Amino acid sequence: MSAEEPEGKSLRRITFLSAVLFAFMLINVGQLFRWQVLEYDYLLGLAKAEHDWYMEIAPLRGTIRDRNGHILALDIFEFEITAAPPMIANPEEAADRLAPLLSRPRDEILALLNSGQPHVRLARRVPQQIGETIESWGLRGIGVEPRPKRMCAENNLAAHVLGFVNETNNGYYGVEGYYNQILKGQAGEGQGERDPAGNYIPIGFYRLAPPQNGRDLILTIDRTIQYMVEEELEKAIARYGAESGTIIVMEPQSGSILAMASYPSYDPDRFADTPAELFVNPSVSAHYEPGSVFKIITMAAGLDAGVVTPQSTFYDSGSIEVGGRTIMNWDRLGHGLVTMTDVLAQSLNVGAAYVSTTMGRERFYTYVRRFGFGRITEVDLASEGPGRLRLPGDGEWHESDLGTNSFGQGLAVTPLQMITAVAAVANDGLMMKPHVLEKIVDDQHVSPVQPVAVRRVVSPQTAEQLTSMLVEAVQKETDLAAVPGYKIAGKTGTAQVPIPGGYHPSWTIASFIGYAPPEDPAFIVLVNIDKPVVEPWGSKVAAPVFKAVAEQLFVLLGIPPDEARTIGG
Amino acid sequence: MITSRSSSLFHRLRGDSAEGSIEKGVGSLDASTAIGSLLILILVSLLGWLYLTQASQVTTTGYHIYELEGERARLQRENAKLMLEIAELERLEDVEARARQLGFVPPQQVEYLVVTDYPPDHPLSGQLVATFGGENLALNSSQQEKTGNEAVGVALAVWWEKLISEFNIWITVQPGSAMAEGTP
Repeated sequence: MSAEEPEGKSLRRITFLSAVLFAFMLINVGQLFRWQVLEYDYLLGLAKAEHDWYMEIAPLRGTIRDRNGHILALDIFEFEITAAPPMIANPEEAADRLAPLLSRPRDEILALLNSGQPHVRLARRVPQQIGETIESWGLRGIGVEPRPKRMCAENNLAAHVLGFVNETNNGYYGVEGYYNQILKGQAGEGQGERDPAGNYIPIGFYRLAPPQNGRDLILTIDRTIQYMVEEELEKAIARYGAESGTIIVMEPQSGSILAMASYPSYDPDRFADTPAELFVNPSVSAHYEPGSVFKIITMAAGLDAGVVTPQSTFYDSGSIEVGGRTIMNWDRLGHGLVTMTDVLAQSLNVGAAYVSTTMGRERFYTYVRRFGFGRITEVDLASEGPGRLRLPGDGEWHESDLGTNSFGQGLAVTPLQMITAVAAVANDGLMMKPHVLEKIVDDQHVSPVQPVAVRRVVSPQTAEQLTSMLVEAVQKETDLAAVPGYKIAGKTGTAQVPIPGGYHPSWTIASFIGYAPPEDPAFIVLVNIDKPVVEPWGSKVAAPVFKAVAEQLFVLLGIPPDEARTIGG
Repeated sequence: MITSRSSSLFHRLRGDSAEGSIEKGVGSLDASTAIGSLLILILVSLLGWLYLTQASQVTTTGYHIYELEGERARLQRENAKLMLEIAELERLEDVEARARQLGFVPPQQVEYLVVTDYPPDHPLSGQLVATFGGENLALNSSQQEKTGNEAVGVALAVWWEKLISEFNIWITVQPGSAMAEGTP
């Protein structure tokens, strides 16, 4: 009995110890399971936040400048302030210091710093000065990361030409959209390790792929002309109670666009607060019936085809029937025996229809297509539209279109198509591709953009004859467009606005297109004023705007009056 | 075993002739081992020193690169800030407002003066005269033989020389000097 008792005790002790050890082992295994399986991601995050650093380095987007080197759009820096709460020794003190600068309640910041999360964001879009101040404190566990932000230096100047850039560094509309890949650049990245004090470890793992910044663009836009044009457009919209409007200024000999303005406009820096319809550039996207300015194209076709000459006459009875539709003049009067120059000067619809019907549909539409209508101009701006042109053979085309198209009804064009077509007449019959990019610049070299001749649309003789007719038309009938001392070649237009079932009884698009000096044009200007209330006519509404713009262009471009140029040789 | 080893050692220490040559050999082996060990020690030390130097160098350079990258990023940000400042100072809206504040107005009437025969592309005829302070500076005949643009250049040179000489007189004779005192 006495010999068995110690043995039994030992056995119990051993069993007890084994049980205790087993329990400890179970606790250890359980704890390991918790750390390595259940809380794996959380703990890994904590460890990484403490030891590793990774940073995507955003590239700087290329700067956009005007033709004289003035900055139009550039990247500035804003900061994102983040925190790694486990690394922050004194959250109270950090919250006290950060709250006033980040304009955020101290308690909110403190709650984030005490959240226990491996990584939290405290503020975005912090101005550079504040970001750099926080950076200079060197607070352990507080991250200060610079982020580029697009900014338009001249506020909303040339907004439709520029477009906008979103938060992911992608450009939309305008130059930002069209040249996004060139401007955008390529992001870089940095990776490495840091010690417990948060310092960089140079002999540990470290990798840096620097970003490749975007290339700069120099535009053909002249910001002084753009500014002047935008001012004149706004004044005109207010003066005539119009709804909207567009002005384009172009160099006919190169196709370079000097200014392109539309109203209403927007601030690209505040694109998020802007209605989406304002992003569209009406100069390249909006379709409208051009009205009488299209007679320039009809007359160019008639002259070049040899169907008429400037002195050709016809009897204007006040109406003409084409395809079963009666076409009348704007004043519903007959003007008797008139020349082709009179047709332009008095803007006679009957005369234009006479020319197109005499040419026949094949030849007329061949010229219309040659002038680029019904297809995009391939301008280097995003979202360009082709306009709308029905052609013989299309299901929708009607015989009467031959008559109505001749004076700009029944077809739709973009303002850029219209000015490009007339610019071809100004440029001795040679059509140039419109463009806004003059040079691409990077650290290594400058790549200039050469003007591109699209095609010859009419002969130089035709262009010269038509220019003389347009000069006479302005002198005779459009004195509100005339600039004293200068000859202007131009044409007015008053287009009705189509609505379902016909045309609106009072809405018009008042337009004027003109160029100067006629013998060697330095500029061509298109003015469209949409739905003016005070006056409906192009000669009353758009012509004075053209005059105001042209007067200033003569000064800005240093073009002396005709007399001075003649004497000066 | 112990006795035998002690005896052998005793003999070695004594330098007994029977094992003398072998003992000498062992003595020289010990010396070369020591030298070899020393060399290995030196080599290892050298390698260690090289490694430490390299590591230290890498660390220093790494920090330097890191700092320079930080500096580059800072300068890039500073550059962007300055570009923005320039753009803001050049902003047309503000320039126009400032110009108006200073009393400037848009040009109301622009007059163009016609300069006949400009730019001249042939020798200028007649007497070419440069004017300075109301005084005519006639060019000599050789100067007048120059072609138009060159003649203008010569006239400018003469004018410039005259201006410089006037300036020299002005800076050497200051107000209050003899000339000024002599003025009634």
